[in-house]
Amino acid sequence: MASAGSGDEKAAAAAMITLISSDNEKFEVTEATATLSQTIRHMIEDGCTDGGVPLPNVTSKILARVIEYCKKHATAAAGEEGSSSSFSDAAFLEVDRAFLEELEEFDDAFLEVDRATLFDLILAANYLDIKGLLNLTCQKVADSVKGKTPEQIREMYNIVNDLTPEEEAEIRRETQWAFE
Amino acid sequence: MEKKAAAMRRKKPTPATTRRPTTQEKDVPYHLLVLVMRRLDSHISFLRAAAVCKRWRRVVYVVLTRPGFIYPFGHYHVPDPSYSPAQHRVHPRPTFHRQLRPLASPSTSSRGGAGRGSSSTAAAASSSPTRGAAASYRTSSSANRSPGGTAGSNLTRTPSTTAASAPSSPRTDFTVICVTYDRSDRMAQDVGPLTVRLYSDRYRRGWGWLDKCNFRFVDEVREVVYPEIVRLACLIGDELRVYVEEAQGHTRNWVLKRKLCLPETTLGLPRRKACYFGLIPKLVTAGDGYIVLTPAEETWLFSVELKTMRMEREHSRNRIAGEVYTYELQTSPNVHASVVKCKREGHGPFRRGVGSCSHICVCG
Repeated sequence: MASAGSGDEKAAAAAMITLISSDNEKFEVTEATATLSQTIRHMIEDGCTDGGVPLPNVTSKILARVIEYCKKHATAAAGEEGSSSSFSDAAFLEVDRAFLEELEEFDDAFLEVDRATLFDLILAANYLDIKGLLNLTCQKVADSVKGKTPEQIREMYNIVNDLTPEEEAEIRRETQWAFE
Repeated sequence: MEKKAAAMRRKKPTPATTRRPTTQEKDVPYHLLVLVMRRLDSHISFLRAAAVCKRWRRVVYVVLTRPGFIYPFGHYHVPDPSYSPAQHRVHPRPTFHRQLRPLASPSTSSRGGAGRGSSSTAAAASSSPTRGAAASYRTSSSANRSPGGTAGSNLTRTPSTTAASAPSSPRTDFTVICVTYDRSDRMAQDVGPLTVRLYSDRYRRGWGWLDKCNFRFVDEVREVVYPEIVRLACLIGDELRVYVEEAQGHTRNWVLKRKLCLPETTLGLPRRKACYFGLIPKLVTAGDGYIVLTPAEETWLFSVELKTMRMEREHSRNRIAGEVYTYELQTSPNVHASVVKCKREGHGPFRRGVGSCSHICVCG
C-alpha cells in the first residue's frame, strides 16, 4: 500500500479514527466520515483522538448505524465535490440529482427501524451533534405523529396519560374540532 | 466493578426486564422533543400532540409561544402571482417576465435567458439590444423604471409614435403597443398592476387598455424546449382569442391562431347554468400552457388548454387556481400549558384582577 499509494491515499489511511462504543466495541472510520459529527470534529481539532474516542452514551448497535449513515453522507459529499470540478454543468446536475435520489432512498431505508432504535438514533445524533441525522430522525417522529389522535400517539410511543380526566375533558371542550 | 453493579441495582425504578431497557419516548430529553414538535405542520397536529400528556403539552406550548417560530400551516392560492406579497421570497418574479423575454429578443435571450433565477433575468433583460422593451417589463426592483409612475415601451417593432396607424398585416388583429407597470404606493414593494396598451381595429377601434383580467401571456408547457412558444390569451367580449407572435418580414406581429366563443363551447360542460356569460367572463389565472376562466356571474372555473383549446371542468388545476404559497398564520392554536384552574383562582401576580394569573394557566 505504501509503495503504490499516492499521497492522498496515505493521508486517508493515516487519518483513521477509532470510535469506542459504550460496550467497548471499537469502530475504525475515516476522518471524513467521523467529522460529520461536530463533537468528533472538535475532538480532532483539539488533537485528542489518539487511542480512540470513547462514546459512553452510544451503544455498539446504534454506533454501527450512525457510522453507516455518516459513511454514506460523507461519500455523497465527497462525490459532489469531485464532480463539480470534472463535469460540465449539465452532467453535474445529472450526477447531482442521481446522488440526491440515492441519498434519499438510503435515508428512507435507514429510518425503517423500530421506535426504540429511532429514539436511540435521536439521542446519538444529538450527542454526536450530527445535524443531518438529527433532522432526519426528528422529522420521522414528527411525521409519525401527524394525523394521529392522542390515543394513537400514546399507544405508539407507550406514553402514560398523566392528564386528569377533568383536564382531558377541558382540552376536548376547548378545541373539539381538532379531535373529530 | 461491584460499585457499578450496586449502582445498577439501585437504579431500577422501572421494571427493567433485561439489563438494558429499551429507549422510550420518556428518555428523549425535553429540548429534543421540542425539535420534533417544531416539525408538526398543522393546527390539528399541534392540538392533538398537546393532548397526549402533560410533558407533550408543555413542549407544544413552548414551541407555539417561542418567539420567532413560524407556522408553515398551509397553503394559499394567489390567482395572480404578481400580486402576491410573498413573491419576493417564493417567486422572485411574476411569470410573465419570462414569457415576454423571448419576444423581445429571441436570439439573445433564447437559451441563456431561460432565467432560472432572478439574476439571470436581469442579465437577459438588459442584454436585449434590438428593442429596449424587455427591461421595462421587469417589475423587480429595476432601476430603469420611473419610480411611482409607469414605464412603457414597445413590445412590437412599431414605434409608439407611428403605432396609431393600423398594423401593416391584415392578419393581425391588434398590436400590443406597450406594457406598463404601475407601481402603487399602497401595495408592497415591487408589486403592482400590469396593463397592456394595444391597438385593435376590431375591438374598440384605436387605443385600448387591457388589464390582467382580460389577457395573459401563457408559456408553453415547461417540458417543451426552446424555441419557446408564448401565447397571448385574450378575452374580447365573451370570445377567447389566442395569439402567437410571428415574424412577418421585418416586423413581428401577434397573429390570431385560435378563437373560441365561450358561451357556445361551454354548453356541454357539467353544471353550466344558462345564465352564464351574460357578462364578460374573467380570466382567473394562467399556468404553463393553459388558462383558467370563470363566468362573471358565479365562480365556475374551467380551464382551457391553449394548444388544443380543449376545455376541462374536472381538473385539479381548476381547483387550485393560481400559484400556491405556504402561508404563515398570524395566530397560533391556543394551547395553555396548564389546563385547569390553579390555586390562585385568577388572582395571581400576573395581570391581577384581570383574570388570568399567568400566561400559562387558564384561570379567568
